[in-house]
Amino acid sequence: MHRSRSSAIAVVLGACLTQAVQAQPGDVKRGADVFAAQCSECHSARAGKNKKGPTLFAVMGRRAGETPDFKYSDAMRQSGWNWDSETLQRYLAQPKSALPGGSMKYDGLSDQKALEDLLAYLGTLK
Amino acid sequence: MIHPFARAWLLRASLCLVFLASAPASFALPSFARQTGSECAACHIGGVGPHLTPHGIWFKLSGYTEGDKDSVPLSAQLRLSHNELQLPSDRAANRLDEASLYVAGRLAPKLGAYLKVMHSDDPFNSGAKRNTELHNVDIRFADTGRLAERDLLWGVSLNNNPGVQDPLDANQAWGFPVLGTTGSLFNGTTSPTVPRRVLGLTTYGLWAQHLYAEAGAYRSLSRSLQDKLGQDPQGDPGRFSGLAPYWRLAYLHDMKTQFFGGGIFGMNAKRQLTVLNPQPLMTERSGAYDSLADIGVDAVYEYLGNRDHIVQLRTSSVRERRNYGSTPVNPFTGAVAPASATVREFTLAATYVFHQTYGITASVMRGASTDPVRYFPFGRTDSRVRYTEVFWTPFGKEDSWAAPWANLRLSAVWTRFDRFNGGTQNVFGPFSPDARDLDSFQIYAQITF
Repeated sequence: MHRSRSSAIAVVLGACLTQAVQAQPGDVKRGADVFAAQCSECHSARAGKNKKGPTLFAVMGRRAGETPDFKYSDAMRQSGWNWDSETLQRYLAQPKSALPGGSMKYDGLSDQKALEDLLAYLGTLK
Repeated sequence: MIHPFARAWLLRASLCLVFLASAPASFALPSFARQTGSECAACHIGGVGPHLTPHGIWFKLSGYTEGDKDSVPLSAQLRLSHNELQLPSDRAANRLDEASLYVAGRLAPKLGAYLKVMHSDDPFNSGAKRNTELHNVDIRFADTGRLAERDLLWGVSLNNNPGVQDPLDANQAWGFPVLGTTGSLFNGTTSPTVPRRVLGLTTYGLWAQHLYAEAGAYRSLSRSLQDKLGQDPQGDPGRFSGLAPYWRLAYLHDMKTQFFGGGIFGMNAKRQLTVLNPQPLMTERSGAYDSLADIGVDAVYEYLGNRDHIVQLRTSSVRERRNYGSTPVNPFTGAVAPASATVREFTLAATYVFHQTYGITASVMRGASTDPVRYFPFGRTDSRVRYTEVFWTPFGKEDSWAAPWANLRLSAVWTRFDRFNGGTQNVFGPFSPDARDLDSFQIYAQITF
């Protein structure tokens, strides 16, 4: 009985800790560096500036595949996604498997901390 | 003893080398930027060509076709220079020394081109002072596919300069040329020169984003066609016997904040050189056939970080083994020239760029070969040239003025000849200039639109 209660407490504590770690906001300045290294050659942070990829200005909350004057893949237009943190995180970690048929030639960002920093930076683009 | 005419020619050629050494090879072309929507700095170290970021390498291998903007694949370039030389020149110190037109960009969905037509002002050619030539050409078809469950980017390149199509830019087609009185098949400055006087077709593939392989062959252009394309027939590389095979293997690793690329390459040619016939007095391709076998190694490292501080290191080394078809005799000593020789060339360069705007490049180029009969007066061709450039690229970034319609680079270049033609003093014979007399300082303004 004691053992099962301890286990339950450990599980709850672990879950809380995990949530605490996940809830840690990313570092915006580091996120800007991640953006410069990983994204900036194909994406602009400026409003209305599309490069090889669409502008990422005000990407948070935007509906996927609907940036004006940019030709998206059919897969992206039909994804039905909204760019929230969770969707961006899932997509940017492994774009090709997250959206088969997508046109983004990027292998993904496997560094979880860098990804969080990047999302924090993208959140400031508005 | 070298003929006075030959000595004068060597001197003139060496003066031209000063310009070839210091003149920037190419530029970030706004037509590419207009096509892709990306700024020059996305593809070029410091916002200026020719040195490529990993993104620029990908764009090149993709056949210059990436981007969905409607644009005309044309660019133009003007270059003005201020020249300070040790040796006297009869030309103005301040000149417009280049006006070029580029066909650069997508021609069809999977077909693209980089083609340069250059009108230049040769300050030491007392005959045709101005010349228009077909400069580097790289026309590509490129496509993507899958091989062994990994991505494959493959293509075909039609080009006129072995190495100009290469993804790395450490070789002599894009890096600094090795200046000297003899050179390898890849050397574009020492007569006879292969670059831009041949036509080649190569096919390449980049597998799994890392392994690059390329193979193809080149054939020589006729002397009359070289002449029509603006190449001085005096520099004719000779008639290739059949096709000259070219090959390349490299490993590329893009880590986004860093990049490494390196590999080996080679080319073989059997060529019949142009010789001067006394009766009738004319030059023609009637010499013996020489066999040339070149093999090289090269490497590029880039620290890119967040693009505020960029460092690029590049090096290349070429060894050319020659088996001569003839063995001339020195009429004064009776010595017979060796039937074979080795030519070595080495380049090392480092570039640092701050904020993709301010940069400095330092490099050293070395060449060496030995032949007591063919190479007057020292029996060696050893050269060592150092080159330092500081540059300012005010535009070329995403938020730059006039982007993507224009770019500008201002640069100051110091070229120092530590050794030339095998010596440091009287390098062309008694009472001729010393190596340091070839030193120069130049200021360039390049405008591209």
